[in-house]
Amino acid sequence: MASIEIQDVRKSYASLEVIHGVSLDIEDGEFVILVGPSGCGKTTLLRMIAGLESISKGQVAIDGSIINHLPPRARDIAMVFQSYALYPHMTVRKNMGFSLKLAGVKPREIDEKVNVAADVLDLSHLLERKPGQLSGGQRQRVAMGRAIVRNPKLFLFDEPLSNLDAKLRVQMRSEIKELHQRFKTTTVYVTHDQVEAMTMADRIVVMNNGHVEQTGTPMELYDNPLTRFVASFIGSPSMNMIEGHLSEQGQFELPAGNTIDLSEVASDEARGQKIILGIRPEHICVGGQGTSLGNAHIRVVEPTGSETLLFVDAIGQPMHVLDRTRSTFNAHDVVPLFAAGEDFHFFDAETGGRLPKNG
Amino acid sequence: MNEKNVFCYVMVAPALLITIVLGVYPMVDTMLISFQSYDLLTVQSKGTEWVGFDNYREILANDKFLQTVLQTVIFTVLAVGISVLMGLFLAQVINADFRGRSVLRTVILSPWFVPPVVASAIWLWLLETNTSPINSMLLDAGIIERKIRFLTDSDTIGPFSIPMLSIVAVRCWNGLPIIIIFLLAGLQSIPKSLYEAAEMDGGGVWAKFRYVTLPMLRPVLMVLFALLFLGGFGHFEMNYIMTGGGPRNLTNVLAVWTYQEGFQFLRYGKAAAAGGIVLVMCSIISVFYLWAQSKDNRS
Repeated sequence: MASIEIQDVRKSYASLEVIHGVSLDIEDGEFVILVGPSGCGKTTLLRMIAGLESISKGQVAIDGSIINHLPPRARDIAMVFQSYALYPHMTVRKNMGFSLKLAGVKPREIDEKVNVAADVLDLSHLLERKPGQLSGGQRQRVAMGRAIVRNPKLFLFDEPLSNLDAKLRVQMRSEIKELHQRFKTTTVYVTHDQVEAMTMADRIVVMNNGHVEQTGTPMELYDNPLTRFVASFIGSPSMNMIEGHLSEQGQFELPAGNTIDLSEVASDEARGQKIILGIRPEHICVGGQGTSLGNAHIRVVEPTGSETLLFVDAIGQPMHVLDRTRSTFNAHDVVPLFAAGEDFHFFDAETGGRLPKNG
Repeated sequence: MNEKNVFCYVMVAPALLITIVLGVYPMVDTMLISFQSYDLLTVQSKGTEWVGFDNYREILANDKFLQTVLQTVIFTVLAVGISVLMGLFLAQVINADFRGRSVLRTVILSPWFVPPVVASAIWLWLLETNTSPINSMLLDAGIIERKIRFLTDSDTIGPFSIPMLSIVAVRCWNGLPIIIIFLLAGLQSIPKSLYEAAEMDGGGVWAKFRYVTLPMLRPVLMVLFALLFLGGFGHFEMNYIMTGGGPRNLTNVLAVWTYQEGFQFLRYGKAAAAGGIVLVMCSIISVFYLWAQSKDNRS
């Protein structure tokens, strides 16, 4: 186990800088997830920690020792690749024991460690098979087995579930989390799937365009997104963003001409400028109490059993509403929408930064 | 037979016909001749008597022929071994990303543009004892005291001689590019993530080569070895043009021996029997290749 300190790390390809000074402290035993859209630099950052990419500027330290110039093999880090990167010519047993073999561990000891790891991952009956004879989920487990058998200081996961089907992904999510709870090894996990990030992480690092947008626990990011980007990225379905002008009196004027009364919740700082009002779909009610968002025209109804997702046109723009009351809705129905003021989020329309609320 | 089958047969027919006429028929006919006393000088008076394995017995009792068989194997093993080893190294070099890679690629692959006959002629001049620029350079540099007789020195160490090694070198030089192309294609099909995984697992350069590159190149290497051995056992041009099998039969190989026996001494029966021996050697390689491939497929 180990702690990691990342200080002002930058990555450039020729004159093009793709990581713009990322700083991050990861505590011993923590499960940190780097999340962001494609091309945001999360995998590059992970590969720099692994040593597979050079660090242009800044430094990465494990337990206080700078590892910038150490080759991957000297860092005592195990990595699970997106493609699993299992050696196709080796059996599962050999794949899992390969790092120990290279480290000069005796064959008997390797066998023992592989058997223990295989037991944990329910791979014991597959040890003599080759990767080509395994399903996606089994390969994924072998890739994890290869990592845990070494008992490394740090686990790195590079989008390990992206090649699995939805059901298996859910299963593997909990298995990875369970493994982490069992071994308590410091883990850095990269994904573009915010659901994975929310469900697995101790702490989430949201990245965008090569810099960190926000770091925090899943609930911190959900409840208090610091930027418009984080607000729309975290949460599924994503937050409704309504652009308009907030008057000094607290009236939110929409381009369509209608207004929403935000005088109770809008802070002085937010007033008198163009802002973005963010409301999560699950915080909008059909009927009920709170601030009125006017009538909505339902375009599409998507029931999933436990909840119903409505695609509606309201206050002059398309919006999502997530209803958990098991009411029956039909397309083309017109329904009144309400939301509680404490669930509103305000963002600066120019900078995208969070604006304070009253209370 | 439905219409689709007819179409398939029609499309395959020309290739099949050419293979039968130019490949199968001559081979079967040669095998038949190998069991006959077929001497062009006496064929009119004695005819072509069926003699069973007499031709085989006679050539296998001939020391020079046995020496030739041994040399064919040595030539092939040396040329294939050295060129595949060099190919593995050079393919890695030109697969790496560095400045000037395309220039180096062109230089390394340039012997490919030279047909074997032309290559033989060029190297015949380069290795001719008195005119050899290589000798001049080595003498000028003080590395040697007297000229090396690259193609005519008849001293031997075991079955090895300087002319043999000279021809092996030329065969490697000329054959290397195609080997590099094969291996380069193989190398480029190896996922980069496997090397990265090996690095994360603690592997250095050698471990990555030993446990990733080599096993992943195995299918390519198998095809390459099969092709090179099959081609090597029947190799003719360089040995024939550069030394004609001499000095003292030291560079003779089965293809040259067969040619000389048939077209210089006109003993077709014995030449065909030598061809039969080559066929057996090639069959062994083919069977071994097919066995290895089916073993691979099974696993």
